[in-house]
Amino acid sequence: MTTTTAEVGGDARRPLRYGSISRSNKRALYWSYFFLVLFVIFFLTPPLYMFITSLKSSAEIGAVTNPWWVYAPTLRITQAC
Amino acid sequence: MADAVVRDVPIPATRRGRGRSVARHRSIVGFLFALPLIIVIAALVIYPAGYAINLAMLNKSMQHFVGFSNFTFLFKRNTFWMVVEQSCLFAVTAVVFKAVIGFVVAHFVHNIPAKGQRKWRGMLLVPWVIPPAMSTLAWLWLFDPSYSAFNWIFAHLGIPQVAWLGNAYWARFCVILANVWVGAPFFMIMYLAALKSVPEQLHEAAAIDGANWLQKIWYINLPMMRNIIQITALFSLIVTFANFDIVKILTNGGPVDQTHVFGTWAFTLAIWGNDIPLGASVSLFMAPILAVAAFLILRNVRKRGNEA
Repeated sequence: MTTTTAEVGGDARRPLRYGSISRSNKRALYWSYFFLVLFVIFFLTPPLYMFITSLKSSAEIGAVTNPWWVYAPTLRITQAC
Repeated sequence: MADAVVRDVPIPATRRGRGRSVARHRSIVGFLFALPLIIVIAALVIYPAGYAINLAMLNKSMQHFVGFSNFTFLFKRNTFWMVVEQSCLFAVTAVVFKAVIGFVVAHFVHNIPAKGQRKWRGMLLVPWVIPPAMSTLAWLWLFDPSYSAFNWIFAHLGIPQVAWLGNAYWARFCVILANVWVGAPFFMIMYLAALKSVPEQLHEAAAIDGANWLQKIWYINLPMMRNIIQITALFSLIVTFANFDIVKILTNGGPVDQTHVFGTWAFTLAIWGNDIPLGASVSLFMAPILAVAAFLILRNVRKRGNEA
């Protein structure tokens, strides 16, 4: 196989870039990351909620407060096991 | 290289006989080597299946043979047909969504640089590595009628609260969602492996021809992944049809038996109803449905294998 080096504007070390292709690739990459973040949120929500609940006391689990936040974290449930 | 000329040379009768005896000896040795596996399969698969068929043909006290009475009794019950409908809806919908999500996520993971793929794969595989009974408990808390974390968000957004597990339609949605959540990572990892085996030259050639991303997926990835898609779907269909833990923990078949699948209803009849033969006959109904699905899918796979 042969390797071809393209020289653009006198700077031989600079990689050759084709504007439209690199732009569309970059856009596809950003969208991939965006949707991956959404899927990771979907996949990690129940384990995260399990973890949050494990740090709550029984009273806090039953209280009408923000269920996504731990106001008084405790390891009592974990230690009881 | 020398050219070899093959002539039909008559083989003497004694040599032919000896060859046949060697072949027979080899087949006996092969059979003896396979015998332990045959015994294991017979003990673990054939015997329980035969025992289940035998159980399904006994009366409630398991004393008398009643033939197909249990089956005819089931055919007359509306709940049975509801369970058949719900099982098919649950399995087909869940497998379709798992396949679609797995396919989409696999493409996104495949699209990002190889260096960062490992951590994304790790995060996306978390639902699959947690025991389903544990993760379903988390879903149960999220859908809890009194302390639902989703309803808390809805309340703050001004959206009316939903009786997730109290309404039949929402309860069906919840069990399907939990099943999709558990199973989608398996599809993702299988499809990702299939995507890695698609030659990059095909994509490059398609790009030169002016194909966009959708055309590349439709004309290159999908045909190259077709066999793995079908086999994964079949495998998942069997597992989803036989699902027990998610429905049992999340809804226990309720409300009013609307979310029962074969596994949970068989358990309810056999254990809570103390009618093991009737439970066995319910569980046996899965076999013909899955056999038809397996035949149709595998026939397609084999046909394409022969074409290749």
